[in-house]
Amino acid sequence: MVAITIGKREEYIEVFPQNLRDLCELLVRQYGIRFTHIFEGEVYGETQCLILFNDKIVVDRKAETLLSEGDHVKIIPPISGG
Amino acid sequence: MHSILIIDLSDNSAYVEALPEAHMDAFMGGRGLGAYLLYKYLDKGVHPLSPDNVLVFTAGPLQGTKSYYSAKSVLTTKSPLTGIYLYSIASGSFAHRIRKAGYVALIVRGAAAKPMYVVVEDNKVEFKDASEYWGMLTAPSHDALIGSSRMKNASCVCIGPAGERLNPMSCVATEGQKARTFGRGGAGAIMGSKMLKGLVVGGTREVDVQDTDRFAKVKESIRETVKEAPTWVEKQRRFGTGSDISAMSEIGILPSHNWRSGRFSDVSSIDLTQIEEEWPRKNVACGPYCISPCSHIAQIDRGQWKGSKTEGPEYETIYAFGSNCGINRFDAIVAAEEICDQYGIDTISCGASIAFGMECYERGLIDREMTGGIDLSFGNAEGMVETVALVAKMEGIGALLSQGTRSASKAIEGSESFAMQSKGLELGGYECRGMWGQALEFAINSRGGDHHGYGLLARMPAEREYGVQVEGKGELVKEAALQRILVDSAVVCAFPRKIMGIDRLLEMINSVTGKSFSKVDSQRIGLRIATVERMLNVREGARREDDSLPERLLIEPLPEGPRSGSTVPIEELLDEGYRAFGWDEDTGVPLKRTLESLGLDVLLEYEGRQG
Repeated sequence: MVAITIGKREEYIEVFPQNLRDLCELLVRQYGIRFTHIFEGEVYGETQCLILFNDKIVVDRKAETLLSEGDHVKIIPPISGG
Repeated sequence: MHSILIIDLSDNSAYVEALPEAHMDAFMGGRGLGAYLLYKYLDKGVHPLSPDNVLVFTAGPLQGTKSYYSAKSVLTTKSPLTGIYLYSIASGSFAHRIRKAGYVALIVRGAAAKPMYVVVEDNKVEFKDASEYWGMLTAPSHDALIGSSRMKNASCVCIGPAGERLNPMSCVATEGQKARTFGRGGAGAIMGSKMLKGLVVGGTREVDVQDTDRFAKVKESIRETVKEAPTWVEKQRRFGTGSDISAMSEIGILPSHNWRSGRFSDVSSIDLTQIEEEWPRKNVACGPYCISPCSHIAQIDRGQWKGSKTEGPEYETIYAFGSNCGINRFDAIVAAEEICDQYGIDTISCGASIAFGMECYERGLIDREMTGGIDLSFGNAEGMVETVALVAKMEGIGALLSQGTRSASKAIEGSESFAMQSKGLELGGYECRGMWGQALEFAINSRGGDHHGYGLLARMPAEREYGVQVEGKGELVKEAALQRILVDSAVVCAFPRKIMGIDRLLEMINSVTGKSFSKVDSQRIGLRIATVERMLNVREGARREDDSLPERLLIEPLPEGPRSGSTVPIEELLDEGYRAFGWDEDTGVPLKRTLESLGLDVLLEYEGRQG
């Protein structure tokens, strides 16, 4: 089981995605278009989400990062600050 | 040819100087024009509170038209808080009124003998007695001065009691109850030193749009793009700049407890997305011509701060009075901001100075006797709000804290390492031990510890992902800086810059002015402006050693979060930054070849170092 935090919502995914790409595709199916740009370039004012994998930032958008039981993936929405 | 109005308070005179078109083209307007005019009209070594300091209010090429996102104005001067160059931007219509009066800039010099306000209406300038308004809070001052001018469409900038008392954190306010401010760096004290309560400007001139069809098309294009980004628009509408506080804490970039950490355990209590129902706010625009308003009115309807009301709070204020002070009370943050609005002081510097005071208190460097009986512990909301009032009035412990953390830390032995400032300006709310581009921005940008001036690197995906990497940070900061400088010199809002895009911003400028600025031109103009800003500080003696960061960021590892263990490798970053900007690596002074390539060697009459 992999723990997912999306923004502030925490979910536990029982279906076991092999890697981050699989996981995000699963989330897209479940939650819709909002996550399609996770691994893409900037779209107008929408910058990419940041992905934390076991509290470390995933660089290079490594979609092939393998997942294991107990991993925690956090998808952080784009920040604007100001 | 453009016109600059120069107002001299020492002898109640005013005259117009011509600004050649070539100079406007070289500096665009707004921030760029302000930097150039400050270099020209301010002598080296002038004390910020001397009559010889100047206040330069500038408009850009879009003010006076209905360009989207153009309700911004720029003020440039020498800061009493830092002693160096200061530019500041406020929302509202002031710059539009400057153009309507027939000018691109207003320069105020000299000092009056008694409280005064100045009314500018087209080519008429009146100097009026402000004695009855001296001591008034900002919003009533604004309304009274506008009312007395009897102009139908006028705009006013004014100071509150903090500026009158020469508080180094005081700001110049505008837009009355909306409490928009030229916030950072203490410009309010400069007006106070000149006995200038306010400036009211209005006029009847029209600013012609050279190509109205092209102008209409680019506006239509921007509107369409806004429609295609409903998530972003909704986020702006509901939360403004405070939408991402939890995310920032998660990433470890939300400073808390005077920058001891980048995470705040009580973040959910001050995260606007999570307290939306508990503390509803009303969405408003900060000025005209905005098609994605992101400002809000917050009013507290219960509890000990019932009745407190402010336009905000924005992210920086939530950081400054919230996480950075260990405060988890939204109502306390609103109460603190209201005091700042009323007296006219900068929320960032105030909050950062109080957080500094809290750490001093915790360490026993100051005690309850010095705080006047206030328990200045982290997390004590009542203590924080009480202290804000003291800072605004410069009373009790506020007399020391109002001087800013750099000065206050010199008076409190053992506290310099955690005075969170660079070049005297308190840092904006982006923990940078894990984001070295952000650290470089804080260190080298010309107004001090500023998160705005070189583009807010924390937003950039490349920075958030590759934060702890030196290579490439110079170019990244330069790229962000040049874009931000263009936005500030065109004088448009920075928030929709990705929606608008540099191409469409230039299209809007070109359609209004009839010019043909390209992206390459804009980058050159941006670099020219960054260099003039740098030269203003160099002229005052600033060198590489002044591009420093607080010791906390250099030697204390970030304790938690994805980048835990990081500190800032400042010297390597400075080398990177200087190379990118064309500054001498030993001194930080722009190289002669940099000045020559930008046409500045003659303009600034600078000999400089070869290189």
